[in-house]
Amino acid sequence: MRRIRRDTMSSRAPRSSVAPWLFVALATLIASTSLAEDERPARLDPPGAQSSNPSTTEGYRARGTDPAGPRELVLWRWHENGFTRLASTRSRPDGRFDFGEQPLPAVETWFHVAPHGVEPEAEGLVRIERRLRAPRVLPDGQLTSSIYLVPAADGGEFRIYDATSGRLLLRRDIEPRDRPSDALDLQSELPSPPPSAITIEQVLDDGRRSERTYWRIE
Amino acid sequence: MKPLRHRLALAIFLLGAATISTGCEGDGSDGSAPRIDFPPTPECIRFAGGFPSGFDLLPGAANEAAVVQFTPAVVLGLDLDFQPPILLTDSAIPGFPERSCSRCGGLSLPDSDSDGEADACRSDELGFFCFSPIAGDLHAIDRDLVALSTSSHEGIVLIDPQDGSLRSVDIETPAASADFDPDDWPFWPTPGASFERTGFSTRTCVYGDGLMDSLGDPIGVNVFCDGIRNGFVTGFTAGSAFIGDRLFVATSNLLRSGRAQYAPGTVLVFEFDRSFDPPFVRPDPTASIVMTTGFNPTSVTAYTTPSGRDLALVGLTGMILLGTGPDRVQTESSIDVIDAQSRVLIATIPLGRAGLGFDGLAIDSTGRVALIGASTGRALFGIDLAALDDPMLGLGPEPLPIVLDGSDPTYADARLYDADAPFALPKRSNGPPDSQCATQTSVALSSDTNSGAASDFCDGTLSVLSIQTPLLRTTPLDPATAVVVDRLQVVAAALVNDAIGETRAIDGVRIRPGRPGIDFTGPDVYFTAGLPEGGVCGAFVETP
Repeated sequence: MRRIRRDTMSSRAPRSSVAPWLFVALATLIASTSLAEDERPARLDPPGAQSSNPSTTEGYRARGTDPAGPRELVLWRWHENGFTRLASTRSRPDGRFDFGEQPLPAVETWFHVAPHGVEPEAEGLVRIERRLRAPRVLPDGQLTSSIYLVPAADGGEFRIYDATSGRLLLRRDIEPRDRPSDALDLQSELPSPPPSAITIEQVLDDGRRSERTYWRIE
Repeated sequence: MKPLRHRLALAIFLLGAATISTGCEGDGSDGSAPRIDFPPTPECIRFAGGFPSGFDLLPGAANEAAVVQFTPAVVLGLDLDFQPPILLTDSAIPGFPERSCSRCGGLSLPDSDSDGEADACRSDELGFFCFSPIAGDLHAIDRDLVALSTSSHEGIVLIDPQDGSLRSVDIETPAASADFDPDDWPFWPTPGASFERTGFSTRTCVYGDGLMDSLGDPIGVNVFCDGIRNGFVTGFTAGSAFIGDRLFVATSNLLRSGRAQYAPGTVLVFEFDRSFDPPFVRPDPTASIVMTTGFNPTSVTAYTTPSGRDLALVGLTGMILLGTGPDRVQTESSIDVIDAQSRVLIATIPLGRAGLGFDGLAIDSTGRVALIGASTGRALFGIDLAALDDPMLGLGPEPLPIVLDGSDPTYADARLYDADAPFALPKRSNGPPDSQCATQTSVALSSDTNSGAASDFCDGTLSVLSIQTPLLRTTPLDPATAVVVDRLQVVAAALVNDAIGETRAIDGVRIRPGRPGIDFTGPDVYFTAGLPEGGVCGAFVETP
């Protein structure tokens, strides 16, 4: 195949001082130029560019700019086990692309965009931080002095405060999600006399604190 | 950058190696050895909170579903035409609006019914403490309307799954009558007033003399009710179903989970008139509360008999202790049958100490077999719907409910698989031992073919089922052949210690409508995953 092409090219080459090597060099230059364009990375918009109030973010609108558009792009999520493919789209001729709204499975979620068929890499990850909501409290049936606590995210600990004085009353490690949690008996676990109401927050291992929830003890 | 095909080749190698090393596994149930398939790893959409509390396909749209993100609580509409599924909306999904409430610590708290006041505040004003809604089961009424059950602040929240926004209804309370006392519905407007809301309360008082809780203790006067009559207040709102022009909502009435103490079960009935815009909702003025035959109703399934009679099939799990395992089941399970037109409980199908799953009945494409999962074991339970075919069932002078267990030769025995003779599902040989993880199951049956799939929470497998029903509905079903396991398909990791970070804890399963490979090309079976995050994953089961 190469031989046929070379023959064809030379048969069409002008019989002048412009040597065939010039065409080869030109072709190489064109090829390398388009390769460079293909390798120009697509970039997701940083979170601050799209939300007027990032602290309330519950999802992430994954859009950005692809200087090599139009082409097929893949959105990836990075986590401790590697990359997970989330969605595909095609960038427009003007370079913009939009994967739409993406849920945020963790407090910190890392996104990456790569051309179709190209493995994602750690460079160019965009980190989105989700608002750390208050832990949820479930009464033990109709008993408000015995409660189940549902964390807003994995890890860290619950801290329970006297709602009136703000004094820290109790800390409790958060069990991994795959283990059933026991009910927290407030009457026996809180210092006596127990307060009339408590607030509960989650504190992650890195020190980030959740919003607080309020619970009245009857 | 390495091309993806290198990784794919490695994956294929590993997959092959895994298949060779594992080989075929027996199911241990009937002596046969279902084939084990290792298809490509299902792709999942991930979201926060782990353990989605509800998942349903959207009627009227073959490629759409909705799932509950437990916390922060939102309903995510999913487009199943993509792998993995993507959100239906391009816009940010709003959570419940929040209001500050001084009587509940001055915090911003959810206002799920959009009455301008935090749910906890309203709850506390009425004596029910500062309870905020906890997301629960999900029932898809239509492509643009789902009913989300909430507990603690007990109610139904109405949401448009297309964009996650709250949907309005007009709520009104019937006038006082011999059958209805507005005072028993404290969260509802006074009669004569009508309000536009995005949710409504399922708190009501239920009265009765001689009522006993699941521990055998008598139910006395309740401070939340009239303070005179014996009774209890409903709670732990569970599954719901829209049938005819009414919404049937099960309330488990849990008194204390640590002791598995339940008040008698109830199904609340709401008129839900969708001919108005917004729809009009009120408690049924003549039959707003139906008492169930047993404890802990967890699901409601709509079923229409061949003669066109609408029925509500209520799954009663029974009293179960915390944890899993058949020994946790303390009282009988059953399927109660409510005539949707009269709102009368006409029949019950006792299933023994089965511990029915919470996900409702799956009905096969011929309308003959209905299966339900187990909350505490590796089994399915089932009923023969032909036993409900008689259009006069429950309309005669006989005492109700009729017990369809074969004890009265006048009536058919509706039991197909019960606690004494469950439909056993195969166990994955390298799954966790039952002593570490006694599983729970969920089942779905195709509306277009004779296939089905049952999920195994601990093993991460789908049992691929085949349903064989006789041509005539009068021909009895043979439990040995009506449902068979074709094969076991590994779709997720087992709940074992070295699977941290992998997709596992699979639960609610649904089969996409249509013929796989003809009507659509993607996965045909979808299931929820609880770990490491919440997820909905698609698996190729019947798709060529």
